[in-house]
Amino acid sequence: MREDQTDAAPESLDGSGRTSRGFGRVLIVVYGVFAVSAFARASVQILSDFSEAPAAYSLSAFAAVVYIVATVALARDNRRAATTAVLIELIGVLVVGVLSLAASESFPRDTVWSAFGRGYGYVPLVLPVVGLWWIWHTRPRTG
Amino acid sequence: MRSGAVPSPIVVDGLVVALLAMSLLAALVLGIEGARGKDPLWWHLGVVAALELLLVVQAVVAVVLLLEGGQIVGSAGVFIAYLIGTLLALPLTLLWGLGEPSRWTLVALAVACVVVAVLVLRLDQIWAGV
Repeated sequence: MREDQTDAAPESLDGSGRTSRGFGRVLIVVYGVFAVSAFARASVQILSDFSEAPAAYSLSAFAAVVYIVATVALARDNRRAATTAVLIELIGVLVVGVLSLAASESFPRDTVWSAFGRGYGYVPLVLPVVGLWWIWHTRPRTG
Repeated sequence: MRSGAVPSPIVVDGLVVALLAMSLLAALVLGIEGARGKDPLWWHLGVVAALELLLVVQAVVAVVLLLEGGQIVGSAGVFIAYLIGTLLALPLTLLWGLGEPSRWTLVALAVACVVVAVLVLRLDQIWAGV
């Protein structure tokens, strides 16, 4: 059906104002994977031994919430919420990335964002950039 | 936990290798088909179904081994969570992807296949206590 990459079809790549369409389907799968894994990781950390590293584990939970909000917002074409969540995600991975390398003793346990997401193949570092590009790419345009 | 002899490691290792090979091959094939702009076809779904079938086999084997007293060196809870993850990854991606059938459905499934490969690898590591 739609084998073209151009913006001929209404469901096409850009200008639709909808983040859930086209490539967005793939992006949301990746966000969903991180939402689930970050949530599961935070749950295990907090339920098993929260007192061991409360700061890192709280950060894990925060990251999980950010990924969940980003996933749902992108899937529901809520551009404003998606932009906010993805921006927080970008700031989070950069700040935590720097802090975890500069002051590793204050990060006794890993989070998704530690060392710029090295434990996750640096996907957490690339994902918000792709997310912001996609939100910008699908911005509503008139005419 | 306690470290013990893992029962029937040959069976499990064979399964792990087969699953890794099949999931990565499926990712490659579906990714190429998506990149070529193909819409989802029945044989694409067949590839996904075949991989899912092997994942179900793995889950059954893992549960049987556990019930027969096989000891996970890592955390049993995390192991079960990963096992459930391997079973749900493909069906959920398929449901979501088919909401708008296009080339991107295939790319999304290719991503899910890579995720399955990672999960299978982690399952193996947790079982061995890495």
